[in-house]
Amino acid sequence: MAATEIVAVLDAGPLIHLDQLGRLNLLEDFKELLVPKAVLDEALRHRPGIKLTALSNVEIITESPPLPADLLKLADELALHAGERAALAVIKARGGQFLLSDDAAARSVALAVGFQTHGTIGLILRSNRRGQISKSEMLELLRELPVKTTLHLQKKFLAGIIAKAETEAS
Amino acid sequence: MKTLTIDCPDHLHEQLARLVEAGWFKAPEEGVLEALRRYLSGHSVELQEQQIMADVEWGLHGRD
Repeated sequence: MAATEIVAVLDAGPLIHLDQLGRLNLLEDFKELLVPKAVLDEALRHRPGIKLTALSNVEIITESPPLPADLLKLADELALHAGERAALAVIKARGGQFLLSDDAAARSVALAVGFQTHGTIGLILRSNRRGQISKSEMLELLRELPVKTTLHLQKKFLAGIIAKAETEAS
Repeated sequence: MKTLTIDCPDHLHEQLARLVEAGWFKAPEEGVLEALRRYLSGHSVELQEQQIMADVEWGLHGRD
């Protein structure tokens, strides 16, 4: 399946969690994936063996642009980490469409300045919608989240998502 | 009210001291509490779950 025209900027969360699931390949369905060096460093601290080179659409941004003043204020107020700040700076400077992050505060900042944000769960569901994985594979990945990953969710909340996906996914 | 004892890295302590000196807080402890309040308000479970549910809709029914 052809990749979409979407340029996405990655924060460490989805990178770490998809790697923990052994499914980094789900990120191949974007035209470009921009990964700030600070994000890669954070991901490598958690997953030293992570292999981004396996993805053909990745560009590592070694020098992140400065964060504009409006974003800097929000980032300070919400105590964002270096990787999250770098990801926001890159999406603002490069004009990406999506910020891929599992951090509620980073996503709030991105939303506040008009960017779409999505996280690991959205990416797993999307990969089924886009035909990258079957419905049963998608449901299996959702069930594996609390076992294999460090994405912390309340059991009841995740069960609701799995039930919804079982009913509504094709 | 609980009392917490923490080890604060030097560089954070220096930044905190500068804010106290500039009059933002009466004492370093007040600055730590404010930072914690702001962190918790941005990282609440409710906010995370709200964002994930929006993501679920996109993942299942989005167009991109």
